[in-house]
Amino acid sequence: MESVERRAFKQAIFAVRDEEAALDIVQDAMLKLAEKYGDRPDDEYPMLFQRILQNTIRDYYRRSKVRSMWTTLLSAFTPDDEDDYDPLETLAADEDETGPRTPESKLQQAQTLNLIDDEIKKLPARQREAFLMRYWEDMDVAETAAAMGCSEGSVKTHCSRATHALAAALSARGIKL
Amino acid sequence: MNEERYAYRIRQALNFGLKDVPPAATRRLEAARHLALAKQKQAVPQMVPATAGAPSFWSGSRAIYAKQTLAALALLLGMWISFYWHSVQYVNELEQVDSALLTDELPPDAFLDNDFFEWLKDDSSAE
Repeated sequence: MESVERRAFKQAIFAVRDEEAALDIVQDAMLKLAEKYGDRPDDEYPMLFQRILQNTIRDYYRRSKVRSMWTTLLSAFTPDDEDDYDPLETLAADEDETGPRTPESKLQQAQTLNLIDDEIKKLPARQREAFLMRYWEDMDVAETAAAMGCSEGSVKTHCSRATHALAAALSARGIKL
Repeated sequence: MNEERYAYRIRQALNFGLKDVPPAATRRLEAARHLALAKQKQAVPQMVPATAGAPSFWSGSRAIYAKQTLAALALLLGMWISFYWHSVQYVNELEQVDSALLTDELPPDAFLDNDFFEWLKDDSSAE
């Protein structure tokens, strides 16, 4: 359970790039799963949870879009979250939170992980969803398609494109996996 | 590039990064999990007929409705048969009375005559 909720938290961070919002999203998704689908068979939980999680993330986007529209109307000085996003800031913030690790190898490892996180965040939303569900959540193509509400062919295409995009971006940044 | 293998390596890196989730976030996730478990919807126990056996066409909620409908139809059919049977018997009895009346020597008008009943009484008392 712990690893599931941590993965969900990271998925939400990849999508919304805000830790507090990500925590709210995971909490909402957990509550919705428990309240509405708590009586379902255990093997349906991963797919249902992913579906709820992605829907909650989309709801967050919608709400923040409406909120930013109103704040833009009310104040011209309010910065737009998405346009002003700087991956380097996140990278620095992440390093501050985890704290500098003394051995050089660990630092390099952390930087590599941050770069991978960074590139995953940059993927188009549907590709990221498909890639993470398929390869991180270990869901098969049919389950991923059911959770995403699309065809199995689309899942395969999204996964393939995401993998190629990640490979190209990471090798451009000098990371060989 | 082998996609699966590359994705597997990214997965390993992502799993490795999970331990860097801040403790405050971990605590909040744990609290959220406990809250969700406390509010978990429980499966509602359903009434199952004693005849329910292995899963077949006659299992599930649809089958229960079908059985109820069939029982109601059977009851209606039984009531109709009973009503029909009684009405046929009643008509037969009337037929017997009518035929006895018509085959008798007495004319049917005699039964409508009050004097006739008086005569019958007298006749029976005479015997």
